Amino acid sequence: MLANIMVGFQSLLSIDVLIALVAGTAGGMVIGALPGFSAAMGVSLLIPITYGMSPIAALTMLTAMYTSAIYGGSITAILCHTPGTPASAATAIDGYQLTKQGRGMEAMGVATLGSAVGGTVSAIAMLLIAPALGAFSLKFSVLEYFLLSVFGLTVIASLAGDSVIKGLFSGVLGLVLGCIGLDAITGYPRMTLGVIQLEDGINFVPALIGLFSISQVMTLAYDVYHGKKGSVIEDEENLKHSRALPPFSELKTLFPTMARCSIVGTVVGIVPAAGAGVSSWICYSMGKRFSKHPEKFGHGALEGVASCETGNNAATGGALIPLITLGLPGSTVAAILLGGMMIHGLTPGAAMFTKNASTTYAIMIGFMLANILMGMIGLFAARYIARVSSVPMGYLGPVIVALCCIGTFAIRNNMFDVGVMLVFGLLGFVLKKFGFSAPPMILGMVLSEICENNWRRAVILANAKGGMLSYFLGRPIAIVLALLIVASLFSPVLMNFVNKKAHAIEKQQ
Amino acid sequence: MKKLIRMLLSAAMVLSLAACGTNTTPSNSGGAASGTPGNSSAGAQTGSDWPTKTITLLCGYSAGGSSDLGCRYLAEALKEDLGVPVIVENVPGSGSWLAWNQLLQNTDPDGYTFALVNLSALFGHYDETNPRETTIDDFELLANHVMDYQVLAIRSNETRFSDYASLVEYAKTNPLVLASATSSITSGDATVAKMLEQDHGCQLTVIPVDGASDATTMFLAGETDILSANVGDVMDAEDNGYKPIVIFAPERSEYLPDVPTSKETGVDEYVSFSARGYAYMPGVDPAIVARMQEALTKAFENEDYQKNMSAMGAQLELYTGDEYKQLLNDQLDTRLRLWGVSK
Repeated sequence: MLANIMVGFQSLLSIDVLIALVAGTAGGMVIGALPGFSAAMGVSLLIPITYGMSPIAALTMLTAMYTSAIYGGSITAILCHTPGTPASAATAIDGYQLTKQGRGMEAMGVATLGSAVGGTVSAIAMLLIAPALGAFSLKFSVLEYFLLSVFGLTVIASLAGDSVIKGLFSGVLGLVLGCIGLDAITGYPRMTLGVIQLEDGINFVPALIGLFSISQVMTLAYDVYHGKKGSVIEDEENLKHSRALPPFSELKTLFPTMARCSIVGTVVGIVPAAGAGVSSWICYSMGKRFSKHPEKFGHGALEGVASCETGNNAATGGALIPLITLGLPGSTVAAILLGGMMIHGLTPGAAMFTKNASTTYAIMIGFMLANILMGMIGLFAARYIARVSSVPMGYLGPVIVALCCIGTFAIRNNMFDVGVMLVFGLLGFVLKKFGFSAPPMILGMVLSEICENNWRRAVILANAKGGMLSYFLGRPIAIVLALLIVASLFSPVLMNFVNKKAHAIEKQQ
Repeated sequence: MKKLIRMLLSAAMVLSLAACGTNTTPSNSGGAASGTPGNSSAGAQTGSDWPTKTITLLCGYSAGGSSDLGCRYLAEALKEDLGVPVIVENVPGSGSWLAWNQLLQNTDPDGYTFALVNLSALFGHYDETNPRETTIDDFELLANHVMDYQVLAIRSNETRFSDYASLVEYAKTNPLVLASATSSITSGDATVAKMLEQDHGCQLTVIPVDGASDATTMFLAGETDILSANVGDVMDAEDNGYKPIVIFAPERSEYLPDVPTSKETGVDEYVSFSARGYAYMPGVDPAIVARMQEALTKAFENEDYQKNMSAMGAQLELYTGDEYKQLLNDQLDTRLRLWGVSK
């Protein structure tokens, strides 16, 4: 393997591969930062451009685009509350609060560092133990997908904001909206009102852009109109003096979070059916549970930014593992990458580590370098990019709305999606006015499909194999996940109880 | 002054983005314009001077997939013969029905727009849970290019059965599980399962999944017992620990030379495939239809096209006109019988 890694390094050191690496990384950051332009779109637009390249250059460019687009999404999420990709929705929660407190640049620095660390760790995992991890992904099946999505749903309570009831309502609304479309098991159209466009369900990306970006612009415009707030999120003077990273003493406390989320993110990425989006939510909620200051989450915690940004980039490398070893894509983008690999004559499977080993290792090392390069470019450029938040709302708002419309239309060349985005923008604005928060709703929509379909598949499968109980008991990972869910549900109650006890004892003394 | 610069900058940002959209995906913006009814001169054009402007190929699947790539290779080959640009417009959604509805309901039959069609377009009418209004007769079929035959595969370490005959025998008394993307008449995978039940009395449980790769995942993990798929899905079978045991085709596939046809196994003579071809809406000038069929035939023989399609593992078979219609109607009759649906 060491020899393969050395050969891999060598083949990376040609000028066309290096150009592809830099172009893929920089291009991905821009695509990711624009609302509506997701990693999936960047990669699929790039595939035709790579036709003429060598397989190493092409795949290095594509995977670099993948990871840096997931990172790029955090830039606008933090600075304007308009997540560029679905994977950055969780980042917007704390990132934007930090920007409002004049710490936008620090948030970006942490996001950059977290993304680079998460991506690099997942790349190293891929480089060293990909075949073993690939086999691990096969241990997950429909029942595990279902349990993983239920675990994700337990996060809703921690996103609820000020009112748990309102948070749960948003979450349930998201779950119901996620049911719209063709029933995946029977093929029957549900709640489509005869509108053929709704057969695929409500397209998730336009809904997200509406709920976050459009409603954000509406809220800001409303505030500016009523003279409640200045027209600038952050003023230029302040920006000149702010740091690119928080002081080391504070940064130090984030390292355990980053380490944990790198591992969790990589594992979630490996699971087919989950992806960077699911990973970022799970890492965010775990970050909150493990934090010494969970009350800061939602009000501008650097830990929150670090956990979801590390988690989503770690998932990119994770998703590539079953893709390369077994030809099983772990996310939408990985599925598109599969097409890219086939075009260049790389058939995923065992041959990737025997016959094509030198190419495979070159691509994996290229992916690792892309993550490091992304971190360097990000830290260098943060100072300039952060200026966005000093642009007055009067200019920024229309630009964001225009970008959202173009981006949403470009997903499927479909005006219907733009309509969906605007409706969700209005919905998000109204919900916010009445104190309901958007993140639980997005989470509900993301998980609704995974949750329902896989449960129904699991029931069919378990019935064919002698009943749900015996099927469940024969699957160790499912048991572990079920225990995690129980722990996640009851830990706040338990912690509360313990705290009260401790408090009472303290008082007595 | 500063304000002015800001305003110009933001305007430039949006405009440059719009412009970059045009460059990277010429199919989108150009296609939308030429596809709009009203700005084309329907009827005024006769077969002799056609084509004089850009032709749009509607593809109901997103960019980057195998259907899309096939369309793009075809567009290249067609351009050489017709002498005008051919652009691919992706209209993904609702299992390609957005694209087909756009072709049939919202486009002038002037011969400048045609679409990729597959069995879902032609059999969707008979899908009982979500029937479509459109039937085979609503399309002006031009030419079929790709045939992807159905196969059954088992894991390499399978001990319960080793070939098609022993599999059928085993499944008569022992229920087997398999996964299929959608469980209706439009799916070849599910129809093979239906055939095993109807014609051989096998006991099968079908789990509907999202796509071919999900079905493969469950099969490799040992969740399902057998894999019902197309030739194109099992090209890398050997590397991944499974093997196709039968191909439901009249002849062996060049990609799987060692896999016997159903007829060779002596079990049955079932043939099933998914097919990809191209179609107009009705009402196009017959002279233009004839010219387009000729162009599609020439493109089919184009060396680069053949090479690119083979690299994707696509089996190329050309059918035009009545022959094409016959092929589809035969497959339709078989499927209607198996699913117990009347025409």
